[in-house]
Amino acid sequence: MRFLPVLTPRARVLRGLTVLWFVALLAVPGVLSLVRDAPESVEQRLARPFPEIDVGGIWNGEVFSEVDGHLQDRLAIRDRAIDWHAWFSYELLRDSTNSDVLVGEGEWLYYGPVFSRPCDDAAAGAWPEPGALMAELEMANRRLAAAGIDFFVTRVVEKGFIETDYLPGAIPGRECTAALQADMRNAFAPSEFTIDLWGLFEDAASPERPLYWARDTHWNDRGRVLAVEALVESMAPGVWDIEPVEGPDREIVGEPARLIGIDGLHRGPRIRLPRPEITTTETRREQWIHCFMSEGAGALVPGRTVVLTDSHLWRSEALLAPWFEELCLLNWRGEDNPAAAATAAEADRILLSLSARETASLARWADRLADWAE
Amino acid sequence: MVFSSVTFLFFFLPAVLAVVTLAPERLRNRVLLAASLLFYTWGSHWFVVVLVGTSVLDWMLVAQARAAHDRREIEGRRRWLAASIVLNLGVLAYFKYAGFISVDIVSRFTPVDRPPDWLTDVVLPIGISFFTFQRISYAVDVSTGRDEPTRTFVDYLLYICLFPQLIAGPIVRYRDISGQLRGRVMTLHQASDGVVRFSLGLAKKVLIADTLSPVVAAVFDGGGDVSTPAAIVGVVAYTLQLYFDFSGYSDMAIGLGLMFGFSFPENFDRPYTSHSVTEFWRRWLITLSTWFRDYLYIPLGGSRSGRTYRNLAVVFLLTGLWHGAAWTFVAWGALHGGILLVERLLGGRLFSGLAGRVVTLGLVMAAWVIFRAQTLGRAGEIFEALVRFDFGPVRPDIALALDTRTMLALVFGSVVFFLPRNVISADRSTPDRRALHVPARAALVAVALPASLVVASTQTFSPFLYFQF
Repeated sequence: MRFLPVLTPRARVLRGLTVLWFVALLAVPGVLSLVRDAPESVEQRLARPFPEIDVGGIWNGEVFSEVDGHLQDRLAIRDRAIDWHAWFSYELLRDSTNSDVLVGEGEWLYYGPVFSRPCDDAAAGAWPEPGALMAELEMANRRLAAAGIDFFVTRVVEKGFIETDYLPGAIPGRECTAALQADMRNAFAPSEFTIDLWGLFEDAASPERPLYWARDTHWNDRGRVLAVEALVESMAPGVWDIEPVEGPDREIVGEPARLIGIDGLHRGPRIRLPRPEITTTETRREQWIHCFMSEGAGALVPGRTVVLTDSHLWRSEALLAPWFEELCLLNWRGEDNPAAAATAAEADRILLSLSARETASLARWADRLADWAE
Repeated sequence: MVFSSVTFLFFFLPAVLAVVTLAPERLRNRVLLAASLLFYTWGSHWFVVVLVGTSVLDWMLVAQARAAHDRREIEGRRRWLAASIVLNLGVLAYFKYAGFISVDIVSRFTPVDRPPDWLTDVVLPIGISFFTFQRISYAVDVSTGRDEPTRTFVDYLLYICLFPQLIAGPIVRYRDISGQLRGRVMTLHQASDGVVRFSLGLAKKVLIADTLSPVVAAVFDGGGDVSTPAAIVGVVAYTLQLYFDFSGYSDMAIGLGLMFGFSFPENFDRPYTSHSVTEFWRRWLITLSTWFRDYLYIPLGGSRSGRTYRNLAVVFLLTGLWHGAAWTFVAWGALHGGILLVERLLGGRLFSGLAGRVVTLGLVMAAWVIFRAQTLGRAGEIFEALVRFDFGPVRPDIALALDTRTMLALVFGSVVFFLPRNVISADRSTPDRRALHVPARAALVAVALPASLVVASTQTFSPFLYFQF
């Protein structure tokens, strides 16, 4: 039996307060979580619902992990805790709370898989040999040409290879990926269907005029305009006929910032491409398909252009659409959407544009586009 | 369910504390048992059926053994006790060692090519090593008349699966807790001590051990070459991580026990300050060492039979295997056993004074390399890195894992560990010598506990970059 000394009144009060404090810290958030309405969403996703209880779920444990998820999502102090934790980690220690986010100099944040994914793909035998990839793309090009479709392909160079002045010192996979990407760039020399955005961005890079958001992975408006001009000129030379107009800065919330739980709101250039003579109308807006039609006195890329893309061009649609008579953007995340196949099949030209780290999937996408067209 | 999870901290624990506190004393064991079975089912699902089923069987076997003991039928008692031990070790052997024996021994050293799936794909139930030892403790203590059997099966099952110590110890010998199972009081004094102890354990686990985990994983699991500084950092980090993780869990278990009126035995006593490996084993995982001493070493003859060295070797090989079913654990146990034998030959320790502490810590850390590495080959690579004196750049993934927070955890963990005991603990001459000074208690409850809760509640933070509605 433990030795239990007689407590003085002061000690009793202190010990009582200790227990009360403990119970309050644990029970109050728990009780508040149960009495308040369940949040519909957290962290840009649906909050996990309370599961249906069944014997099978109890037997294999699914029910318990789902209840864990539900309770985590509706915990009353969660948002505050995330804010405090992120403040302590990032603002105070300059650490990342997410292994995918690299904390660079100043306010710059980078996405780690840009450097690690190609190297991991290579280790797994999934990174393509450049010559073989080009042969497969050329095959897709021939198949699409036979179906009457012009084909273009480009790789979007990521921030980590362009805004290099603010990179942190330790980056897993950087050397390995740099070598893989260098080989791939040689193979991707400009041709009738390849568009070299990498070289273009490398030439335009300047610490004073960054092309990417500091706390986001994507192009800022300056980078978007650079890319849009290059793509339009490649698909329909001579159509591009204006100078961009730079306005007051705008603010966005960066994705890597979200990943580590910080506010992430930051400023960058706002650029417009004024084409008052062109009227652009949105004709379709589904989760993974956005379509536009433009008309007016200015020059336009003729016919229907389909762009299969990831987030870079997906987010540049407002700058891109006024240059195309008809433009449909297919988000690569809607891979299984049958409407995507139908849309691609009716195209006059198709642009396949993915981030450089996704090079391993280019051949598969090109093949699929050709299948859809046929 | 683990103690640092949201479900446990904010829902399960407050609810169980409330219900047990409000329940009449005669119902408290039943309430605690129900909570413990729910706790176990949450993490181990269907295996709760095996836990309860084998416990029923074992309880009946031990009752027979005890009846034979009371009738002074020595042979009968031995038979029933042997049946109980075979049952317990059989269950443990199947769930924990079937894969190891069939794949790493039978397939490797015999013509049998591919053992059946029911031997190789066995899921290890949580806590099986702990509750198996507790069941054997009950069987031996009761059948040999050292202690009285529990009044009811509820009390027995509660002893086996009391949730604070069910899945990671301390291993509580039946004789240490039998009186508390029959009756105990929940006092403010114990509850407040329990809160402080739980806070200490949670902080150790969440703020230090978990923080060190990425750099340990980068060094040990990353593969490839590591430089000498990286290997040193990895080994130091793992030495601290293992202590803070394991002792943190024990602290939480002891603290929870106090809140519910139980007094569990201590499991760690500043092990890295030991002057010899022999002393280390009196300070590290004390309840396991004590269990092996009482239920294996002494029954084998202990130090008096002239077979001291054989007995020590057996105990440490089994200690290694108890920690895990892999050659690395066998080698780790053998290494510790070997050092103990040498120390015994030299009269107790290799060196005395500070040199003894430094050498002991070095040996223990070297053994942790074998313990942590996935394979003996990887352990060899880490040892090679340690002695290669390659002071080239640290690999980027290791450097990235070694961020400010990790450095702080390394420094803070080392400093706290090696501070003289009286800086944070009360005077050793007091009866409760592990009690903390008031400032240390205040810091734990007012600062470390809220900080740990904040970190624990953000561990599953997983925002989507794209809206996933």
